[in-house]
Amino acid sequence: MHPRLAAEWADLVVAYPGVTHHEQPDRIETDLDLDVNLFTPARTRVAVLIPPGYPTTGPDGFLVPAGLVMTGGLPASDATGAGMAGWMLVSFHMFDGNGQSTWRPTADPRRGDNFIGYLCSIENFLARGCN
Amino acid sequence: MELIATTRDLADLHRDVLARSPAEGGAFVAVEPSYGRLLAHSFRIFGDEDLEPDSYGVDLKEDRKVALLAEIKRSGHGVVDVHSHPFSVARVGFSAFDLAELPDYARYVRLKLGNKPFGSLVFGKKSYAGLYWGADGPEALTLKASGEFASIPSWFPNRARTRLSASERALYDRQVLALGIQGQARLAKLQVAVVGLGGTGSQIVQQLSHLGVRSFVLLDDDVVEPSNLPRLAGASRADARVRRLKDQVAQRMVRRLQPAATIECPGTLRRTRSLELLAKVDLVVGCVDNDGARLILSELAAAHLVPYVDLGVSVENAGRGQLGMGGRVAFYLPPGPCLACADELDFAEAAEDLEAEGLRQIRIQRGYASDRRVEAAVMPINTVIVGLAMGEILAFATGVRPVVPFQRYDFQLQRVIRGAAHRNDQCPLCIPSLGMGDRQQIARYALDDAAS
Repeated sequence: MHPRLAAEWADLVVAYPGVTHHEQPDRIETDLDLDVNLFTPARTRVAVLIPPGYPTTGPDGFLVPAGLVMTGGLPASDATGAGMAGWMLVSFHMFDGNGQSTWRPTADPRRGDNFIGYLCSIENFLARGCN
Repeated sequence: MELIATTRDLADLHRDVLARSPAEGGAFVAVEPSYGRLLAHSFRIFGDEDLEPDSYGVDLKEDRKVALLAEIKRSGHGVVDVHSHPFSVARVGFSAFDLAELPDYARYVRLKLGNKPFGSLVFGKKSYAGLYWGADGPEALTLKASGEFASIPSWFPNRARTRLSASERALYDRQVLALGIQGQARLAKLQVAVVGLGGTGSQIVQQLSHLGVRSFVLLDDDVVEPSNLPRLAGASRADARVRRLKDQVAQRMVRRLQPAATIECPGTLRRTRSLELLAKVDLVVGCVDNDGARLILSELAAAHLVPYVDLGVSVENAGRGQLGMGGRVAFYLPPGPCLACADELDFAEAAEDLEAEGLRQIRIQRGYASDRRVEAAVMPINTVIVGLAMGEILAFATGVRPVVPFQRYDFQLQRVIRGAAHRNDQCPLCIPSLGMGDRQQIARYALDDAAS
């Protein structure tokens, strides 16, 4: 397991009890509940690829299984090229209005940006209908 | 077994352990394995509250020993137990009592720490002795200093005078006049890795060879293109015609000056073998053109306590006479500040450089990423930056003056500006990885394992 993920893991499983770690590609996965007015089905698996330079370089986007449908269309691409056949890569970036990255990690796994915060941001993003 | 420590840690540890003189002092050094060696991650000097008198001097209180070892175990480190023999002046050694007690103590500590490494050091005023308990029983434990030659403490054996052969003295007599025999001998012993063998890297290799460096790790898997020839030291039109690998051109250049040199050319940076070789050298010189590689080298340098000097050149032609040219040299001496502490790394650019090719292609299709543009470059600017870097490498290797960690060159202003940088205690790059050795899993950056 990536050393920084290992340092975050104890807190991550408390915040997201179903979270699991997988390799090839290196990623975490968890289940998230969705707004039934926006998504079918109402619960989805979500995967986040772990960049090798994590936490200095943050995650960029997340994956959901192909077949998840969102009213108005999900902003996603086939993720086979990323080694995740059967999944879609959803565009989700930690950028401000000027296109600058807002990813601000620190040496302390509990301070600044981390996977708990990133999964939380994904939940909020999905709750807003990917806006 | 070799224990590598930064020059600062070595000096502080020796001073603090001997501070109780004439009484004995002691410390635990938390250690981490690093490609078959040990790294000194951190240390804890025993205070009065930790020690109690015994018939042979002082000993660590049992409850403190249990508590401190439990703390080290929680952090996952091994330990090297250090104590002093303040009355040993010339050549210190373990006492008969030490040698009788240490095997049982080693078994006890290894049991407590779940078979993590255990060693023992004894410091005298001007020397040390060491033992390490591995799977095959006890062996010698030797110290290696990582850092500037000028900062290596006076008691450390590496500072002992070294001789040059008569032919070496003749060959390098002008340099010996400037750097001294010891400085020249230190250059001959230095193992340097040069990452990136293009416009700056090729000149670094050339100058190091002229100076008398004989041990190289040369990394670049690019071939010579005709458009490289205006900047690539040592390359010819014939090299471009046959698309010779840049590492072969660099190797040829070294051989012409140092026929007996030891040279390893493992190819690209992102190979398991390359990362292992880099973790073991005395100095990494980064001559790369992307922040992804700089991030890898910075993390590797912190994790394995390897000094790392990074060169950056920038030529921007905005048209209508608006030409900006210059560059900078950044020297990371663990514990820092590192490039990220000094705000010399663009994390977003590094993320793009390091992302998997499949992901990058998806982002290009969606319009979030673009192919890299060709950067402007001219040889004289490279030469100035190489000259600045070589000056710092000389300072690092020979101790003629302290290393300047950050400096910037502005061609328009015709000025070299010395930068000020401080270690950022919350740096996400160097602080968590410092001295973590193999546990930092630098090999995760390798692409050969992912492909196999």
